Amino acid sequence: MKKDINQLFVYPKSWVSTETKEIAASVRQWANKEVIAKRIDYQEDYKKLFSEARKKLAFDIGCQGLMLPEDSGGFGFNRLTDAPLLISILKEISRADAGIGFVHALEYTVFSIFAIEPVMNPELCGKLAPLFCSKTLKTVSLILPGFGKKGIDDPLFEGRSVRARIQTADEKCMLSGRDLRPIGCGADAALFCVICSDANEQPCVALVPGDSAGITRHETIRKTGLDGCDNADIDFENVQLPKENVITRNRAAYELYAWLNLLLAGVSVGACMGILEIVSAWSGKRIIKGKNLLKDNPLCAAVLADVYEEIAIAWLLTHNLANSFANPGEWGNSSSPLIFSVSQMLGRRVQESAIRAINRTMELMASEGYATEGGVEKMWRDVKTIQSCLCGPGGEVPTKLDVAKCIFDSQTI
Amino acid sequence: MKSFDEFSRPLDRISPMEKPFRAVIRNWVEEEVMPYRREYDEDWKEHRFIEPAMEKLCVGLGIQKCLFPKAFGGWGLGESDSLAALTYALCEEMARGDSALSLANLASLWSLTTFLVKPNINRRLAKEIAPMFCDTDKLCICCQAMTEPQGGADIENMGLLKGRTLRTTARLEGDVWVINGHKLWPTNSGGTANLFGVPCTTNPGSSDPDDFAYMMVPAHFKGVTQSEPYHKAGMAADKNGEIWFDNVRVPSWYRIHGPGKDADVFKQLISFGLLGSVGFAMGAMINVYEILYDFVSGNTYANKPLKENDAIAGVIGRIAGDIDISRILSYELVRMIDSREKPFGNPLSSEETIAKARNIKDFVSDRTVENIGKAMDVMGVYGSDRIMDVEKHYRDVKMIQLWLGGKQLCQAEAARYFFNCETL
Repeated sequence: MKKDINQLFVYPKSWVSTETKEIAASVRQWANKEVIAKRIDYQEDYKKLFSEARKKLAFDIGCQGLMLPEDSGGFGFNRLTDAPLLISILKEISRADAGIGFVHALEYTVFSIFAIEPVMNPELCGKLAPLFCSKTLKTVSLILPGFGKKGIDDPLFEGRSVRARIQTADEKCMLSGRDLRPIGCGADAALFCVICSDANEQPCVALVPGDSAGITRHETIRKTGLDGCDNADIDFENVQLPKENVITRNRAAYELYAWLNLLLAGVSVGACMGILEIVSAWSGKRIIKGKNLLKDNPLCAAVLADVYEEIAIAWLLTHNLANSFANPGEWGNSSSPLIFSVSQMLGRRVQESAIRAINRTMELMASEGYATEGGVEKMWRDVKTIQSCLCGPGGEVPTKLDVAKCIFDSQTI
Repeated sequence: MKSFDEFSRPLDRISPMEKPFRAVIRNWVEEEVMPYRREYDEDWKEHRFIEPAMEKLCVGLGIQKCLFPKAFGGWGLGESDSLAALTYALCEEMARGDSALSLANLASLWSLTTFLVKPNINRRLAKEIAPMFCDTDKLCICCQAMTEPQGGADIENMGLLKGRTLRTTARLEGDVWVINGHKLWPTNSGGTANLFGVPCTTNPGSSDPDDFAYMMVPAHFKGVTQSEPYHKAGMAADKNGEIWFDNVRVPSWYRIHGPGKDADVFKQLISFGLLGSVGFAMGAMINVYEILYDFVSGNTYANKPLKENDAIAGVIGRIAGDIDISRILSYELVRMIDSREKPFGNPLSSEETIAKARNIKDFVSDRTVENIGKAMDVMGVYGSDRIMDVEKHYRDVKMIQLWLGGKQLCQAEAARYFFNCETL
């Protein structure tokens, strides 16, 4: 692409600091060198090269443990004002590989409820940081409320079934739940973050080290995309946890939803930036009707404009949301009903725009867009997987009902 | 609704053969496809699971000989008034199990329609080719080798370009055609095909229909080379690769008809491709409906089955409604093709038929991509899980939307006909 992709999206430049730009630039260098420059090899030997690229990003650039406080061994990007930075980093990573972006988005989402100021919990940071500040790749898995089974009445979190239960006695807690489906990384997570219900059927958040006794990981799931992120259903059978590993803070579960939507928006926007570069290069070479460049055909040019429009909208929405996280004094923090609802709404809208942009790109590129070597189909599979995972039971409906409850005070839905 | 068979069909005018024919194919799908289809993705190169299923269909059930005249050992379906209806039923039933398998089968028959379907039956060529398909206990596959590297949709854009961009050439030397060229991506390439149907030009750069030639080229002839298959997002049962024709010499009567008529028959071929496309899309959508039905009945939101929530019902109701409307449109395309020789019908090469057929394919494939995507979302974290059998359809059906010139050519052909555009 002849133009600098970062100069193509119009937004208030004050939203992204100079420091953020510099850090994003170093991640961009990693992306160009470790993935984009060797895209075909990368796809052919994906499992191995995914892991190698992740290591360089995690340890050379420092993206693993980035959000942990400095005195716990992390990089200290654990202020709310760092939200735009996290988004910028995830975009740059995902421009090369949304799978790696996804791994980090889950990590940052989970850290957001115990490592970020003002809710930072030094005790938990001290306990969990060593897992992520070592020189070994680690993943985090997130288990949200979701589907229930017909005939079983579960405790509910905004209509979604909470199928993990926590019991507390003295200083210990006991977590149970069967056949729980994580958002991702269940097969190899070093840390599980589980929204569960307490004895009063109130939601709370349990942080479960992956090596705890009583955890069973089922077979690795074969899925549409995010190939390097191995997921599996999980059973917790009376898993014992120290009491401090269970966050009972009011509305902590809401914060998780808000951060997850923000950070995965960053991943999908990043994937779309990669798509924009690919289709831009391709449309500048492709000849149609025997003589014209594809981008000079009005019908195809209009489709290219649609692709850009969807990405630009997604970009703006994502940065707007990050900025509201960074300024909780303006609209409330991530646990507020408004930010909880809006982050889900914008998150859903970003995923829709992203998948639409990639779909339209594939329509133009046809078989080249569908073939693995074209580099587009992987982004398409990855973003679709993210979009579906973010949906609750019944697709977009739970999110919409959350918005209706917040904005219209709907009470019986 | 008692079963998916209740999606709308014009019961007053479907062929009496359709019901037993569907039953046979459905049985084959249940026995040979459903138990193995989750392994197809990893089988994209070897076809260890895929080829035995194809063999049982094409050889065991005899589908590979269906178009050939009875006199040459076939079923004579090419002479039937219900060809499109039965072809559509075949595509839909197969695609319910796996749309790529359905594609591979239809694409094998597709090229053969150029000389085996009335009013274009070439009996000399039929007799020559028939033994490959009819007198054998081996799988025999045909490939319509159309697309060229320099312009994916241009070859299909006969209305505007009339074959002008073709670079694969045919030169007559005595009673032999000498073929040179390079084809890309056709279904059943990548080492699968035993026979190719090859659009060529006898005069490069010409848009004169007389210079358009369509040749049948056996894969074992000297000078034919095939690449390994490509890896792609889905459609594993369909191998795609490159084919090179290097001074390939075929008998002169392997040109299907001759100057002028080859171009006309090639346009007709597009309509059959569009018919197959809607059949694949419909089969996939119907199977997704079956899966979704069970899912929304057994899983809950707010401790009620998903389907009993008004808002979720709104989403799944739209999906089912789109399937029903798409089925009605698909049978309209069947009617158009099966009435091609009737007083109220139009030739398949007419602008009207091509525009309307493309319109239906564009609409149905869009609805399919959208609705299967929505079904995945309704299933949330389970939507992308292969074990649910929806995500594979999602990856497969995207290709239906992209081939045969994709959306843009569908839109251009519709505009050309409905608005009498002159330069598109």
